[in-house]
Amino acid sequence: MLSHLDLDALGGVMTLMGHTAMQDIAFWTAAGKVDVEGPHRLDPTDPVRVSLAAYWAWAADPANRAPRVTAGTFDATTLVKRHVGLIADIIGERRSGGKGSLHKAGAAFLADEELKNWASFRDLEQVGSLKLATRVSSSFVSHLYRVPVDEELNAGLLVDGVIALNTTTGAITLSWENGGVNRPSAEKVMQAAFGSQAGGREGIAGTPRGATFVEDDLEKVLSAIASCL
Amino acid sequence: MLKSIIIAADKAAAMKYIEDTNFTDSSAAVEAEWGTEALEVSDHDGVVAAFNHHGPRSGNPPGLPAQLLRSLPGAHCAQPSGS
Repeated sequence: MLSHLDLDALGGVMTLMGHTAMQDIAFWTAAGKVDVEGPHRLDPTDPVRVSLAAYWAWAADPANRAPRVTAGTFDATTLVKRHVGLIADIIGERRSGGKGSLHKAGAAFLADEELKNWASFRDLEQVGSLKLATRVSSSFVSHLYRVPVDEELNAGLLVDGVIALNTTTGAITLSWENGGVNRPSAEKVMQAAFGSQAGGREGIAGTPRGATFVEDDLEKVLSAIASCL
Repeated sequence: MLKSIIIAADKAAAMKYIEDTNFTDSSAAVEAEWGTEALEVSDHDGVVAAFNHHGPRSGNPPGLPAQLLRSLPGAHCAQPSGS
């Protein structure tokens, strides 16, 4: 019985199956860290990232994605077996030290993420002791907490938060790298900036649904954070 | 060996599935946690619950689920815990 399908849940399933792929401690430790802290907390130079990315790339394909179960139940047995098979293949490739098709898919996924990181990055701002990246993109980039590696200053720096404008939806999102611990509530910040219809949680919140915003509005979030400190 | 892997929308749906299907054949609940609601089925005959509480809510360190599950002697063990 699962509430959702991710690497962590699959690790639980595979452990109960007695699967030998669970012996890859480095892979599963990294998967656990991602589950708790987010992928941005992994060491950027750790080769296990490519293996995890190989899974993420495959799992992002709609054909491999678990449906969003909003009512009742979904029998995911066949789907989970496919995920387990893919993970076994990735770990098998790791064991052999090879850099086959799965490794290449993972590397391509990470390269695409870095390209998105570079293309969406606007500025590194400081509010009090907090460092924040502002971003603009046509896709979701609120999870990109590292300054692009090709920036002259602060390359690779892990920021405290991201303020991102999604040009597809017109929404602005504030996200805290640590989930909001010892930070002004993201929801309260966004409500201070855009009114009570803005909403979310402690760690991530957005502008009111349906309303659209522009790049200049990113400044309002910075001001609101300052007022909430 | 796990026979069926079910994703449930919420705890009520999970419990209904268990009741409707007599889901009692060496089953396991793995990462069955919706928000703050965790599935606790260890009191159902034959149903095994191996909870995977290691999200930020739990305060548990990274890597705990693997350790927790490895500590289980196969699938025939209950390990319920609160969030």
